[in-house]
Amino acid sequence: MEMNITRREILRFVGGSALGILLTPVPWKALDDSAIWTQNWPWIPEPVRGESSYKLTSCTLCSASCGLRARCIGNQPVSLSGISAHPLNSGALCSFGIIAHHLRYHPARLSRPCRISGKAGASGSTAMAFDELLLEVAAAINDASASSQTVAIVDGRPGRTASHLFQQFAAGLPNGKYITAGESSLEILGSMFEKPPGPLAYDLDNSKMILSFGVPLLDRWGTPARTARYLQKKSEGKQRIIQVETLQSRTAGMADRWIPIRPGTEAAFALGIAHVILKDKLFRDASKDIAEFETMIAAYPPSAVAEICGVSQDFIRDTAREFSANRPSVAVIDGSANSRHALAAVMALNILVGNVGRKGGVVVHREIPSPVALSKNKMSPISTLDAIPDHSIRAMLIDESLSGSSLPDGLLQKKLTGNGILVSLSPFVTERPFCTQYVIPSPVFLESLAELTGQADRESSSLSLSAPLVPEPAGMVDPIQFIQRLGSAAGVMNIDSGTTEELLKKRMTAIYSEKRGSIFNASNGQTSELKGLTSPDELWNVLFAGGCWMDSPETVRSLPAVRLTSVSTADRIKNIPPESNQLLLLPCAEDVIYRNSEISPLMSKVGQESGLRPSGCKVYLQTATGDALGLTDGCRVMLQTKKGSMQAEVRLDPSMMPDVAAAYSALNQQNIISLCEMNQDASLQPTPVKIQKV
Amino acid sequence: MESNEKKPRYGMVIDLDRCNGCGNCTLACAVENNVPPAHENANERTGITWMRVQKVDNNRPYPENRSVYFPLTCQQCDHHTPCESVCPQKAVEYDTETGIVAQIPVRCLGCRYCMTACPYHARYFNWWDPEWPKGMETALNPDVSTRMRGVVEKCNFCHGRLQAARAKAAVEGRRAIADAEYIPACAESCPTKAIYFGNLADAGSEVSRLAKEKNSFRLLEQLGTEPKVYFRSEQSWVHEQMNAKLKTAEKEKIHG
Amino acid sequence: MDKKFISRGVSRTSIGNFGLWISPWALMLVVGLYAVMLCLFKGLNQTNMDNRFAFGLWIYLDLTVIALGAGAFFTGFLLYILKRKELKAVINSAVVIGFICYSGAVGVLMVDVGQPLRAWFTFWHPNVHSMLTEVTFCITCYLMVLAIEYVPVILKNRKIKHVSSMLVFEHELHKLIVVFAAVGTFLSFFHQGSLGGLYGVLIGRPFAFRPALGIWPTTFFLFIISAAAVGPSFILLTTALVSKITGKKLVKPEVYQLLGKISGSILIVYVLLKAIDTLIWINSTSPSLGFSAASFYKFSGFGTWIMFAEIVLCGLVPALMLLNQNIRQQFRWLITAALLACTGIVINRFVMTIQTLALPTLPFDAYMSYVPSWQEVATFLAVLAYGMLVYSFSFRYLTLFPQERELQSL
Repeated sequence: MEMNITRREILRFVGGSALGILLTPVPWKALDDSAIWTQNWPWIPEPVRGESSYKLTSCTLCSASCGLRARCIGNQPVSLSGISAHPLNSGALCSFGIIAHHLRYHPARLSRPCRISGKAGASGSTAMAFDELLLEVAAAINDASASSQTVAIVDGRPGRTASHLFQQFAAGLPNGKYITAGESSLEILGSMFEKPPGPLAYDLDNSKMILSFGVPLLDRWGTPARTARYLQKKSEGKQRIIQVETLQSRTAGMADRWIPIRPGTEAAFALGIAHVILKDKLFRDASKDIAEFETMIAAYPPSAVAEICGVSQDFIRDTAREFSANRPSVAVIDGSANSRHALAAVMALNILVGNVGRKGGVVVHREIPSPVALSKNKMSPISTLDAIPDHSIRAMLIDESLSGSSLPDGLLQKKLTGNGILVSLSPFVTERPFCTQYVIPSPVFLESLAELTGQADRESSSLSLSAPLVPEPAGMVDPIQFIQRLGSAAGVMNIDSGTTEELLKKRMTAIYSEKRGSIFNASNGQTSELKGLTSPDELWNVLFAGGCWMDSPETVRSLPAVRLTSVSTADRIKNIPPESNQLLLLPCAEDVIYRNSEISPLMSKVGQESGLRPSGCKVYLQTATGDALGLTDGCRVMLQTKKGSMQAEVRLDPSMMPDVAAAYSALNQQNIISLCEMNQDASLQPTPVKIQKV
Repeated sequence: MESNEKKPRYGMVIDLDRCNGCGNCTLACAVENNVPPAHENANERTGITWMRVQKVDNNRPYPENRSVYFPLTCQQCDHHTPCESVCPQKAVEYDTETGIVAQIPVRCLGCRYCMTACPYHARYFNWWDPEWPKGMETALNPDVSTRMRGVVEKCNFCHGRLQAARAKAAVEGRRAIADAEYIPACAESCPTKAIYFGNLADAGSEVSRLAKEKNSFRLLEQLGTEPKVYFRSEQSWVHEQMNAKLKTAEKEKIHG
Repeated sequence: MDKKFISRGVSRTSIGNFGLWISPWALMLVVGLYAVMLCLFKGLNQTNMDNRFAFGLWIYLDLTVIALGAGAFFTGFLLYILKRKELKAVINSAVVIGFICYSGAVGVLMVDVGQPLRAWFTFWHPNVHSMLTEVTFCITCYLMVLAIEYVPVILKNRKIKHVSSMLVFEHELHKLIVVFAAVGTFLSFFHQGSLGGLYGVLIGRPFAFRPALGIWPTTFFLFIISAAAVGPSFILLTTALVSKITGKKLVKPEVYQLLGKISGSILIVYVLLKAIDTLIWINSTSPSLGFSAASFYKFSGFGTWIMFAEIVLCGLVPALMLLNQNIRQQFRWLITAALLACTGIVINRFVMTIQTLALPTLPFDAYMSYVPSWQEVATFLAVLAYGMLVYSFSFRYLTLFPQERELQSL
């Protein structure tokens, strides 16, 4: 049969089929399915599902040791929040703690130990096996011992079991030194006594008046609960904060009073207060050298200080009187940003009003019971870097496993010999181009058992444990393992042996047997006396699950004699004369716990994505100052000082002091440090700067 | 919901005198809602911050210049929700059961009309595909879906937490959830307790009481959007500034 | 070489010269398409739009070309519904321009949205309250209408005409042209209006918000009237431009006059209504939302001169010029007036899109500005190039101007 298919029939068939298909579910289903296919690209990660639970532990990012709950899906922590009844942080976390569970994924984490050769920087890094590294470091240590050079070990979190092992290590070497890098203002205060009085801390919770010299009390300093506690006490009339600071920081903005002083004049202001206290006889107990001190600060009457600091004489007098009358009062200062002279001048105020060793002032913590202290192995005493001569340290070991070193690089560089090496225990590499550096990777928060102590803002010491919630990557070394292995490689045999867990359990036993203090149980939110526990294991279990042990406070202790003039060298304070039209550069650092790290890439949300905190290289100027220089918000400029130059982006801020340029460089502090004049003690001076548009 | 029970209207009161601009809320929100980290080229105008904190100053010269910090999130407009009425494909839904304005990312076309409609700048567009550092995608919250580029997203008062609280209540045989069982990540993370969250329709709740105080105000009240986020401050300059005419200062920010 | 494709009775330049003319446009198209590929594959971070400037150059130019391309529907309306036969001289050109404008705008929109694969969702989940749903529906339908109106122009090509089925099809289609013109007018009315409505409903942008007449804000009506007013002017300008470039007389002078007169008559109505609307906005609408109208103009770059330029210099002045017969008859002034009128619309669309977004809404917002990236500019230049190419080919091979043959032989 012949089929004559015409064009018309083809058209009919095609048209008919097209219409017909529309009546079937096929096209509608295909359309619908395509909607599902386009819901998400296949390469966008989907969260993993699992059973949700809460595990309790403590944060290791700083000595505040906040108690926190980790929400876990299966065994994976996905978010963190505070434990509300926890006495250390009252349920608050800081912005680092909120994202601390991301630290494990940091791309700059080390997986193997490495050696970084000096000036080559990170590109000159060679991965090594741990044993190989130990051999090289041990060789340097032995070399040091042979040539009577110093081997120093620097500890940012004193008071741990690891700290005591460090002291054993130092004691086992002919020229070993154990150095603490805690709150340096308190270390200076300690050194003003004839004999070390013991661990010092600011008892801020019980203070009626806090005279703060630039300390960010209400913004990531000490416990994050500070702001809420202060607001509560303020509403009850129980606490006042006077913030003496060039910049209007968050603390300055929220304090009862902000006293803006010219950059770098903290020491002068403190001495001005001291001058009034002495003149008006407002001091409490006279130290033996008080008359000598008074002569030393004769050049700082309120009239002179008003001129130097750019404040009114009345402010100085009122502050001095308030500080002396509103007891207990305490004066605090930021150790990391100020010169030793400034620290000494402010600590002198604490001595003058007699608050040292008293509740609400600077308290002396008791030593936390430790079995290591009782062991047969000797521990070396605590030294300070100041006491060590320049260029005498051949090998410097720094434990940066829990937090970055607060010691400025300039100071470290000064103390090392020409061929000195630096050995850092840290999850990341810190760029230190001035020497050969060995870096050993340590586990981060949530990965390993860590002991937390050393709060500098509590009435008494406390101890917490951070429990591991996730497996540790292979090749990590914790502080105790580090010093034990190094000790045996270097032939230092007097270090206590045992695993980290064994040694920490021994500490629990020691604490338990002293039967003092109280414990907080995070599982039920209750605080009770330690002696109510039945065994050290119970103490261990409480601490392992987000709890803490708090020592009982000592209200007054008799102290060794104090020498006001021992550190305070008021006559050597360089005051920068206020010159009009001179722009001063103030180097600032947004507090980063780990240098070169931001904990989590989400930190960009408070930095580059919202401008809430400075990110990248920024220079803040008073709007009028910026206008006079022809600068607009967001324009790029070159900062030029006698020592160097650096590019930055301008931010005009009406709260800035005129003729001051606050420069921030969160990631690479080296930039700003190299621009500023440096004091003998490696602290930075505000430096004259020229700013030009590029 | 039982018919004689008034439906909740979830809202917030933020105490500007307690906020010190720490940024916890911004970060906790990003953790809870799987907000991706910024692309290296992202800035204040292209980043995603469902909750962001804005510093606002009193326009006085130094040294009288003072600031407060405004935590800004979606204001959950209750009346003629501007973003909902303009979405061409109903990817925005005002939930009558809770008053929460929800965003449906899988339906969003990315036309960004809702973003022009929102006077509070609460909506964010995914200009880039999200990317997390290797391994961090295992730490994502399974209660919130991830989004791709080309869609709009915004705060939804941690709706996933509301679902979880309801599921928990259902398991325990309860119909209603207790106030404390549902709290968004931002309010939970605030260390100064500056953010109060709760049911504005419940006259006995703390948010309801605080919202009615004379020191409480809302942003752009005259527009009639009925936002459910209130702010309060005892500093009179804050109130003056909210009521004053637009700032006429010539602050230009060029992006180009 | 291609003479048999060229309409009888008219001359066109050599194919070599034509090649020279289209090559720069082809190149521009290629570069533009590369920019489009970048945007589609890398994402919209290739543009300089951001969360504050969610709409940028593309939306602004889309609105502008759609307003200018309104000549297509309006001329169709005048010719087929109001039976103004003189406009037969330009209707084909108007349809091609309209087609170019609308297809180009839709093309750019597909790049502008974050998820073009989901574009059909609007049809699946339409939101009756949203102006953008309305715009999507109407523009899609209208583009189909324009395509249908373009088809007969193509089918009347000298060579294609010889295919008898095509001729029959074209003839049948032409019988329906009145229907299509009516439908086109109806659809245009709504989408031109909705494009205005897009901004008029924004209660969150007091600069753009307008009170409602019925369910539509006043900008709905103002956009329609302004589009109708400027459509004929744009046809006038494009015809004159093509005439200048090709060196041929394409329409009788009366056609120009008529286009100018129609444009002027509607423009004066528009200016009057716009003035009333602006006064109401200044005195009532804006203050009731807590914003004084004056405060919008305190920023550098956007002073009140822009309002003056839009309504007076490029609104009232060209309207009066176009209504004056003496001025209309002087070709140079006619062109100037048409140019001013079109500029007025360009300014108006700019003010509604870009200025609206630049202005602060929250009390502590800063005024913002934005500069388009090269990818955005190149994408739009691709549309321009596409338009030039389509029009050039249409002009060469199709009868866009029926009066040309007559005028050529004179």
